[in-house]
Amino acid sequence: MLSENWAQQIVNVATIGGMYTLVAVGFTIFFGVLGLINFAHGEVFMLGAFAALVVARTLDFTSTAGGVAMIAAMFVFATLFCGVVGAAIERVAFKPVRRAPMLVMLITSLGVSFILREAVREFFPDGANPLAFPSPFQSAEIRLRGVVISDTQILLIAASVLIVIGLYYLVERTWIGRSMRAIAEDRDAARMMGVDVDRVILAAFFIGSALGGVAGVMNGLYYLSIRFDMGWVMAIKGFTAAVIGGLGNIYGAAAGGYLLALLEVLIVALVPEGSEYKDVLVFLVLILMLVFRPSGIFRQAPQKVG
Amino acid sequence: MPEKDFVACQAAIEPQKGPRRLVDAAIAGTAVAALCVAFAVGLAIRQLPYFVVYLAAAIAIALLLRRGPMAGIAERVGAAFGSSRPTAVGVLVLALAAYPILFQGNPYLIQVGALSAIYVIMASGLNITLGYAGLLDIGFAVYFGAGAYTSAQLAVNFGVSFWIGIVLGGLCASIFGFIVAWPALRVHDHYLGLVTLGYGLMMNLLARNLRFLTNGTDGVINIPPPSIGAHDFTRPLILGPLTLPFQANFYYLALAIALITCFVSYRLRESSLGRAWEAIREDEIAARCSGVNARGMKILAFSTGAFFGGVGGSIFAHMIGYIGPDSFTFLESITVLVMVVLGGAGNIVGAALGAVLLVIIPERFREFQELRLLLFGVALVLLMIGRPQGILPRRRARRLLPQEKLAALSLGEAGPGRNARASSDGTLGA
Amino acid sequence: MPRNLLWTERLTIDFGGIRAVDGLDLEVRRDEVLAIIGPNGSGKTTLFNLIAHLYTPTSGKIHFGNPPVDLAKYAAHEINALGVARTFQTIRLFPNLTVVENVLIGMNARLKGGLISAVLRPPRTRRQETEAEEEALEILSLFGHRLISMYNEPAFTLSYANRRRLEIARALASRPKLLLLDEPAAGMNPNETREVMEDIRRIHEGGRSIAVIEHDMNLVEGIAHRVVAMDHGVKIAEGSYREVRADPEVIKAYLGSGANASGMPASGART
Repeated sequence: MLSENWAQQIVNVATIGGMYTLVAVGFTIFFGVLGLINFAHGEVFMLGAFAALVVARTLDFTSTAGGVAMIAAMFVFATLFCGVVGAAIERVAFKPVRRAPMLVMLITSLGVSFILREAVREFFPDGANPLAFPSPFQSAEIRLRGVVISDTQILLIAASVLIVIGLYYLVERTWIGRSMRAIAEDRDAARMMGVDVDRVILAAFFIGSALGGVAGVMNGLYYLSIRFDMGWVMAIKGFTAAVIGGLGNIYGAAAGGYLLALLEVLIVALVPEGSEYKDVLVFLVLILMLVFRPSGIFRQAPQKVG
Repeated sequence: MPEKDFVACQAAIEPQKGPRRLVDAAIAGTAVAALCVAFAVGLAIRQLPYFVVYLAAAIAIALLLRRGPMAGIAERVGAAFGSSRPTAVGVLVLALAAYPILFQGNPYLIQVGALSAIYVIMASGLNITLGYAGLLDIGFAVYFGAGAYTSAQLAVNFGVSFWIGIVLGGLCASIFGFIVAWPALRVHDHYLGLVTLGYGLMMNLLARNLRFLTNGTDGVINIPPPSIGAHDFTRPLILGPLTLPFQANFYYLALAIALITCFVSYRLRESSLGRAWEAIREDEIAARCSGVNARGMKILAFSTGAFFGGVGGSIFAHMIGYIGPDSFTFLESITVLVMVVLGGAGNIVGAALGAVLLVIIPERFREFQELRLLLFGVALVLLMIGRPQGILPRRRARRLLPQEKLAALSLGEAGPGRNARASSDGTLGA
Repeated sequence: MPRNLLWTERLTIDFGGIRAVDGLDLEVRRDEVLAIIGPNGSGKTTLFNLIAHLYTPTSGKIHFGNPPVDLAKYAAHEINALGVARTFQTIRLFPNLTVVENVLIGMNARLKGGLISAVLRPPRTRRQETEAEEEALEILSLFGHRLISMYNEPAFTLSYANRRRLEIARALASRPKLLLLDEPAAGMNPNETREVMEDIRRIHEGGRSIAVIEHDMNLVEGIAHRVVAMDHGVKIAEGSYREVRADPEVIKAYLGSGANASGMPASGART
């Protein structure tokens, strides 16, 4: 009985952790190439969910191709949309302040965050209220010795694992990954060695933001409700996950996402009134990590000294 | 070349005498008065379109003064400010004191004035932490909340007078500053910002959940207003023939404390403590090796800044009569942070100006309540791209050093041996 | 009074498996100018950082003063107050503070007063400020017009050589018994180096013990009473300049594989 309960919790951890991971990877990439904590990233995540909602409302798949096509369309559109938005943010807002002091970049990203959130609240139809997110599945459930896994969860877990693997190839095997790592080491040296820094940073923002968008769609599919201010909480959690893994360390971010989800689930399960104090704990973990293990739990030297 | 520099430098510190000094005082006084009038005009404009025109004109004039044909005027006025600061401050204080009298028909504007003064207190506090010591604090609302809750709960539950409560509120806020200062000893820059941000969010959540201390999300209501003797702050303020709306009580209270705060913060900056803070901001390692107790000074910077945050919160709670978790959110922390950066970190007048602008301009756009945060975001991005150092960046004051000493040293040392040595910076050749 | 002002006892520090200073016994005598030489990476600057307690030794002790205290038990700013001041190999000034303020920071440990006296500024505090400023100007005047003519300018406006001078001035402001100079002539041309030599001599005549890390052998020959050579964190030779220069260990350390290293030229043959 208890063990089944735990197995159930592990499935939940895998689902939520996947979302945290995708957001955390974005934070870690931005920090790597720009030394920037991008507060607007949570809002890009939120935009992903809204972009998918637009797709669902525009295209009616229920009668024809059904759920799979609809989900594919949602993911593709949200990914591209968020990627483009992220790249645009980089060009318009961050590029002019790239060499400015840390505080200036931080406030710029806060400004962008306000703009995106408020724009959705103001201009999206009924944007100030929670909006129902369509579920393309018939909520089929698989029961494995008492453990319930919905088809949505299977999709989300599989998608996040696949994306992390894809990311591995991108970072290790492609020119863009190599350039990103080179810039993270030393931007000026990378430029002198012929890396097109502007283009790589732009690409990094596209990739990081696109992953944030994917997480946004997942969040919508999982909770079936989205809201203009959902980005903020996710930003804190994704960021905390990135810090747990060590800012700048992409694999660390992936591990950090799942660890943070595990921690949350444990708190809710073990502490009375745990759900009320769940977020307090997340902040506490964030603070303790930053203070005592700023380079993450993997003891690796920080890849970028802020 | 060094000789020339030296002469120029002596001329610059020569105190202005006689008529020149009077002219300077007149220029500085007039300039302040003119700015105050311009500001009052802006407040008096009721229709929004006109106000937008007014804002645009103000920005245009400011830009023209910076590099346009009027740059000479700006320079002259700046020099006058430098030499006759007391006059400028005097005129400004008079104008601020006259404000409720001028707008006595509009209690709302007086209330906005009081709110501005409260934020001036808080921005000055953060200016010590961020501007002087360079410690990024994105959790400043914590101190505001600590001060507000402390004096509110003391007044509501134990009938403690506001005048004691405000001091205890400030001290309690200092303790919260002290707490966050400990991790701050280990982390820097971004990381420090995030630690303080997490601290702010965590304290806000705790305020929502620890009902026995804070009444949870309901907050503390019916906080009694301050009083002096028999004069209750919710009664109109009678000054001789003048009867000012009750908001003027709070305005003068907040203004007085804001002026004290600015004075304290000025004195701190000009003291050995201020120097030590700035040294830590510039290079912590070098400061430590030069005898600066960086740990102690950082803790002091956080506690002192937090104290003023608490004082501001305390006044706010007793003015509004209510304090709850929604009064000190992340947005509040950001607002105070932006006030300091907008005005110019390290500059006292800048931080105060930033606070006033960030209270008044959004109030003027109340018709666009819905779009306020959106416009705020746009303004932030434009500001950071266009003028990241703030409206009035910190300028180093010219120190008036002991003249005789300087003269004695330079003349005494200008003997033949010295001249040979001082002849070049490596251009001597062989 | 003991002969030594500062002495280390089996001083050792490891950085993740690399032993940067290895069981070092080194002394700085009262009223001497000690030069510490050695190839790059031999542990000289690490030694200074250990003395200033920017690093904590893995083992060993650093004794200072009379009666001696173990510097590893004190924080960096307390060490400054005890009478050890230093400069940095890579100049570390307070760039946005003025020249005179940079020097005033050096006096920080001596200036008294907390929040209250800073705000109320009683006569005592005023007097202290005035005296401090006068002393700061006196220190600046040690370098002729070079610094004093710029006293009110931010430090970042100074020339490279003047920045090095200002660092020394700031160190002197704490009235140190022992002055640690980390490559004071680095990046200077021959004339400036000669000037640095005069400056150091004058400071020494003012009654301070000095330990100086330096690569410029002319400078070392010109000022050092004693020379210590280090390599790989250990002391390989000690004695007069001539003795150390002739020491086979030192020659080996500098010449390494046998190439004619430029770091150890013959006397007088300065580039």
